[in-house]
Amino acid sequence: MAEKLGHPQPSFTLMGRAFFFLVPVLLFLTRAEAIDLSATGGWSETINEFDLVSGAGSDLVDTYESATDATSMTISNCTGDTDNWRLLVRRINDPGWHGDFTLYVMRTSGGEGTGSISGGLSYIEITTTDTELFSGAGNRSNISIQYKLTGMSINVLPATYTETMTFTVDDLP
Amino acid sequence: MRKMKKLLIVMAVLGFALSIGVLAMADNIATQSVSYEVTAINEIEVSGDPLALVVNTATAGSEPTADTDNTTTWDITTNGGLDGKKLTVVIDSNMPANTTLEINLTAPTGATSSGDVTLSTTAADAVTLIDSVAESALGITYTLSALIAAGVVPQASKTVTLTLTDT
Repeated sequence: MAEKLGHPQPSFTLMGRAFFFLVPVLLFLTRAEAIDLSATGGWSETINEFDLVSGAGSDLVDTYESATDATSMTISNCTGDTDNWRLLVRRINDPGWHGDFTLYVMRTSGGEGTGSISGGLSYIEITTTDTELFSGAGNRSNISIQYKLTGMSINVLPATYTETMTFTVDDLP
Repeated sequence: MRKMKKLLIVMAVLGFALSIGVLAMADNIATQSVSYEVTAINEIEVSGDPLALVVNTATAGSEPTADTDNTTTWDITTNGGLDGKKLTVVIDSNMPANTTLEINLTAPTGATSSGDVTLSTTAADAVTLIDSVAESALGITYTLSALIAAGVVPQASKTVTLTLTDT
């Protein structure tokens, strides 16, 4: 009582302590159970005079495709083969990108693993909002991804254009 | 007792901050880059050689009648940007005295033709203010003229060089 009167203390009850300790633990546990996504590869292309449709007087070829395995993805840390997920893709609209370009992505292989995978076997446009590319359940490794770009023309000035795509694996309930 | 409470608070705050930090490093996200390099493209081509130009007639009382040829065309593809390029013309050796060889190139869309340009060993602008463009079958007209003072000039040939260059 004397302590309270003479030196006011912050209220730190048993409930408060429990909150402060339990929340980080719960958050850590939630994190520890999250599905992981890793990706390797990418795509880079040089456009020059050899990409003209038919030499001088013609325009550049409009559409370019990457190798079928330009990117390899692995989805891991699932709780089991029934742990459902979906893979989302978007682009960040990098200022170094050209407004005439349209980017597409598709899945060209299901990879390996005891889990399952479906969808994404035809091109979808990559926009600046998350769009589902494919979905599945359980761990899958070495999923191959292919890209396509359209909109190339002689009106695109000489320069290097870069866009970053973000893939997100979404753990479904 | 007071120290114990402070320690608990500090530990709790640290724990919370660390957990947020771990969350910030969540690896359910992966990024990939797509990179395109477009190099400078400046391509021109002509359809072939013109027919032989011969000056062999005249109206009495006038200089000989000039001869023209418009059987060839030129193609262009450039990504040089707005007004970024021009086309110059030059021949490998000068024409004989009192003779003139001219070239007239049809300009692609957005560009400007200089009209009849007298060919010499000094490069002259034939088309200017060329934008990024891809067009083909643009006209080429050659005109050979000679004055009486030229006399009889033996047959000869000239190499005409068209060069796409920066404005």
